[in-house]
Order: sequence, then structure tokens, then C-alpha cells
Amino acid sequence: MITKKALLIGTVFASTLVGGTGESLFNPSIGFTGDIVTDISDVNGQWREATSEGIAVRSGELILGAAIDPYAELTANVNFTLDGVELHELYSHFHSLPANLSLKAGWKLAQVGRWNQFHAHAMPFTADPRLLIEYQGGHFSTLGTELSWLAPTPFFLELTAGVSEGWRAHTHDSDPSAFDSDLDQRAAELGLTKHGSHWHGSNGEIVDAEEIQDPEEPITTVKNKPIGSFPLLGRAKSSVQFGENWSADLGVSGIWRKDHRFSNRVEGKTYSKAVVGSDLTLFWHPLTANKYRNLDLGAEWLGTYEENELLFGETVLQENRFRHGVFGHVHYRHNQRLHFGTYGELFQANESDLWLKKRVGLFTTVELTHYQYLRLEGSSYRESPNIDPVHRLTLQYDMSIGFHSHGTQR
Amino acid sequence: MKQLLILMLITIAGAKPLNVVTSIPDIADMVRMIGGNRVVVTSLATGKEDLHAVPARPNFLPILNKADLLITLGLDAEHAWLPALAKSARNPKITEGQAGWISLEKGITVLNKPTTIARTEGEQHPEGNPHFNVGPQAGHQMAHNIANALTRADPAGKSVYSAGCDKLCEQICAMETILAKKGAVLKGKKIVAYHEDLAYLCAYYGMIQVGTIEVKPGVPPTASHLKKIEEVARIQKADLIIHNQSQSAKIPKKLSVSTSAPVVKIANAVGAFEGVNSWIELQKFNLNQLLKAVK
Ligand SMILES: [Zn+2]
Repeated sequence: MITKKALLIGTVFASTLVGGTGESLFNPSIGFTGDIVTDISDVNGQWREATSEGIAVRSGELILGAAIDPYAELTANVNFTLDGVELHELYSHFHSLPANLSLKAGWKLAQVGRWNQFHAHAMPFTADPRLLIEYQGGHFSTLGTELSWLAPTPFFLELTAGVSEGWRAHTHDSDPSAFDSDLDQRAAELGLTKHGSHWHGSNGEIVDAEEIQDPEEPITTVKNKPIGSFPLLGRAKSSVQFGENWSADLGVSGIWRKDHRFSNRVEGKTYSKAVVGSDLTLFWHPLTANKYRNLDLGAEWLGTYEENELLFGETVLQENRFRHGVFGHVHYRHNQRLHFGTYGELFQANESDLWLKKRVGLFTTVELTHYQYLRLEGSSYRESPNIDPVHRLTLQYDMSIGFHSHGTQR
Repeated sequence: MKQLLILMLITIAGAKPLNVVTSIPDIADMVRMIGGNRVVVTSLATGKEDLHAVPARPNFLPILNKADLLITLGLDAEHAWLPALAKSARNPKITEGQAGWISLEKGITVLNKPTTIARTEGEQHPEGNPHFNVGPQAGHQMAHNIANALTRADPAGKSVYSAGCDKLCEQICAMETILAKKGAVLKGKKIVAYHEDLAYLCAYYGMIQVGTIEVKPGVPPTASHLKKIEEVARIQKADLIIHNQSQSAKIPKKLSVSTSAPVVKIANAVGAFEGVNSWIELQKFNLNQLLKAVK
């Protein structure tokens, strides 16, 4: 643990030395972003810290960007946490191909949805939308390639198509319910109360671990890779301007994987999964004396279609499930220092057709300087009708130096 | 009729204008003056924004996509928003460092050149003060740099660009005569600037900048810094407190109360205010604003 911390500090120091003014002066450009979070949440009415350390270095991103030649550049994003080091992104961007095309190849956050492509520190709020985690597993990453076409229209229209090596997603955000194991979570969802190594049902009966576990997993995701297991993804993105001060970004996206699950009972039978989404974000950015005052509000709708296997007696049945939900946010920047905002989401649970998961939050951000901010966020998350909502209070400190690989995000 | 139509088509095809995109309207105005019918020009910024922080809108991309030339002030003034946009526009001609990306600082005597490049110096003026468009003395050089860039991109239009440049320079000379006469009273006036965008204007009129409200370019003032500036302004007997269109008047007004120096709002780009539609109008507008305050 100590060596990892030392490594982190060493990296910060190193990038301070070289992190001048960015790309035009240094090649490769180097940047570093530290994202530190401490939080408490009340699970079962008891307030506790989400991590045993108390403070979580959620991510320390070392970002390297370099032009390979005038037409391509390489971006690497290495993420340091106290648990280890992982390569987050490593891709080439051929930004100026003929016919208005550009190509990204390598490992990167996929161009789907609105919030998917945001790094932890770049979002106006601290916690990842739970909807994203529920339906995609977090921020969907591709180890693959994406081709984007800028339409030769007078307004902005970009179409992207891509293929990924697998269904890869991650989140920097710890789950506020912070269950110790999948079993604990499943038990909580079934409305059971934990007592040592066993649980009690609503009538006081003892429930053992074996009863909670799924007795026979009918399907598997581990198979050698047929061509259908490569997820395909696509996105169309546009933007509309209303006068000088208002504009709106809108997009539709989808991820589809034909062979997402493999039947253990029916030879050759596979089940697909798709995530579809649409997003609309409205920006008010007045070009007046209060250049920092601005507002954005948006909604992202995500739906997931999943095929699954069911056993009815001896009969193997296919079940098709469609679930969906929406995440909305308002983010107001009052001046150079202060931001305020709120978010809310409502979505159907993966666990049961009857459940609606709900989360609301409030946040305020103080920009200490242009390169550092402090954010306080409070949220309430009701995961299931059988579990009390989890309240979470988060304090986030972020600092960044040098080059940013996602400067044009808005 | 058919022949006439064919003739018209040939004329249109032969004179396909050079598509020029500029970062700010100051440059667009000069390009229009110099290039006439041989160019179509679009400015990305309206002039109301802070030059360093123009909101990067996706709708800039289709404009940049079709550009033959992208003309910027340079000295990294537009660094925070323009290079990344240019890279996303699928137009390799105009990405930073390529032949179609033009910076106008060539031949300009750059003021406030930093001796060290470090984060502690702020990051908006890493290569010196880029606001030379605010100074009347930069006009001729900017015009020549633009004419040269247009000629390189469209050699057949050389005579047009050269004539356009001459005509613009004549107008600049006429403007300078007026500014020199009317602006003589500004010599020796002590000013406090909000942002470091007045160095060229001060140099031209002989004004002396005694302090800056921002700690560094783009770094907002702290309470202790403001206290220091207030003291400096009082001791030095500052005559004017000057801010531009993109800054709130709140702090300048507060300083004005404690120092009794009037607040002046200037335009640091064409388009900042109604009636400031050309670079020459910008110079006249700023002079008038200053004169109104010193009277
Ligand atoms: Zn500046």
C-alpha cells in the first residue's frame, strides 16, 4: 500500500515539473488529475464510511497525449488508486481521415450516451448515474474501434459506429449500499435480515446462504468468442443553436451484442443484450459580462433489452426483458467560484419487474482555483421497496495540472 | 439564355471564394476589407466573449470543416478552445501547425513576454500578451499578415489582396491621425486594468498601468490581492479603472468608490458592443470611452 501511495505522490511531483501550458509547448503533453473522495452513508440506519481507509483516492489519472503525425495522435490514461494501477485508456485517434471521417482505435470510453464518456472528475456531480451502472455495468469502454463521420451539413451532425472486443464497463464510484458480498445484497433485496452467518425472514425463520443463492445458473457468459460476442455500437449526435445564448445537444445511441449469454442446456443457444439511449442537454451560456454564469439541464434516457433463459419444469423458455429509466440533472454555475445543482433518476431494477429504483441528489462545488475544486454532495438512493433508502454524503476534492484529454466536453 | 446560364456557371465556378474562418471578428473585418469578393469569412466568436474562453459549440465544427484558412491572433490566446475544435473538424489543412492555421503575431512587438513558463503564472498568456488587436499600432502589421496569408492560399488573388491591404492601411493611417490628436490627453494617465489586455493600448497612448485586478491572466483576484491593488491605486493616484465587455463591473466599481477613479468599459474585440462593427470602429470606440472618463 505504501509503495502505491509513494508512486502516486511521485507521479504528481513529476507532472508538476513538466506540466507547463500544454500541447503546443510540450510533446508529449502530460497532465495529472487527482480525484479524492470521502463519504459516509447510512446502511440499515447506521452511518458509516464507504471505505475502510475513510478517504478514497477514487482516481489519479495520468494523461499523456502526443501527436503521432499531423493526422493522428495517441492518448493514454493511466489510473492510479490505492488498490493499484490500471491502464484506463490507450488509443490512437486518426482525426483527419478523408471523407470527413475520423477513427479511434484502442481502448477508450465508448462514444455512447451523454455521461458515458465523462471521466470521474469531469462530471458536474460526484456520483456516477446509477442507471449507467445498472444497465451497462458503468461507463462502457471499448477495446476496439470507432469510426465517426461528420456530415457535410450546415448544422452539426456526427454519426459514429464501432465494435468492441467485449462488454467492458467500469465505475470509479463505490456503491452507496456498500454490501460486503453479492450474497448480502441478494439477501437484502429479498427482504432478509442478516444475523451472523445466516439470515432471518419476515416471520423469523432461518434462511441459509444456499437458499439465497441461485440453485442452478442456467446460463453463462464465459465461452470462446464467436463473432456475435463482439458488441456493436452506434451514436448520432447533433446540436442546435437558439440565438446567441441557448443551445441544445441531442443524441441517440445503442450497444448491441448478439451473443451476450450462452445456454448451458440448449446447445448453441445464445441470448442477446442491447442498451439503447437518447439524451438531450440544454445549455444557457450568455455571452455577457457574467461570462462564468451558465446553466445546463439535461435528461438521458436508457433502456435495456435482455434475452434470458427460464426453466419451467423441464421446459426451457426464453424470457425477453425490457427495462428503462431516466437520469436528469440541472447544473448552474453562478460565478467563477460557485456551482449548484441537482439530479434525479428513476429506473426499473434489473432484479425485479416490480421495482423502481430512485435516486435524488444535491451538490455544490467551490472552485478553489481554476485547477482545484471542492464539492459537497448529498444523495438518497432507494434500491428496492424492501430496503431503506441509503443516504450518502460525499466530499470530493479534485485537482488537475497540465494537459487534459477531454477539454472540449461540455 | 442557355449560353448566359453557362457563362454564369463558369464565372461562379472560376471565382470560388476562399473560405476563411477567424477566431474573432476583428480579424474577420480585416479579411473582408482586404479580400473583398474573393473571400467569404466567418468569425467563430461574436466579440462579446472572453477571447480566452469562447464557449466551444459543436456548431463551430461544420464551419471549420469547410475552411480553407483559419486565422487566429496567436500567442496561444485561443489555446483553451480552438486547437481541439480544429482537430475535431475533419479538416487537416487548418489544424494547429498546418499551413491553413494562421497566427497573426508575426512582426508584432510582443509585450509582457514571460521570463518563465509555469502554472503559477496563469495560463492565458504563456507566450506574452496576445491582445495586440486592442492596440491601434498593430493594425498595419495585422493587415499585412492577413494579406500575406490570403496570397499564399490564393496566389491568383495577389493583386486584389495587395490593393485591399493598401486601402485598409490608408484608412488605418487616417484613423491614427485622429487618435493621436484626440488621444494626446491620455499621456501619463495611470490606469488599473482588470485583465492584462491593455498593454498595447497603454503603450500607444502613453498611459501607465499601475496594477491589475486579476492576480495573473485568468486568475481571479483574492481579497488580499484586491486590498493591495486598492492601496496601489490610491498611492499612485490612478486615473482610470478599466475592464472589458466580458468582465463584471462589480469589482471595478468597488475600487472606484475607494479610489475615486472612474470606471471605463472598453471593448477588447470587435462586436463587443453595438456599433463596434469594424476594427477601426473598435479603436475609435475605446478612445471615446477613455476620453469620456478623463474629462
Ligand atoms: Zn488575455
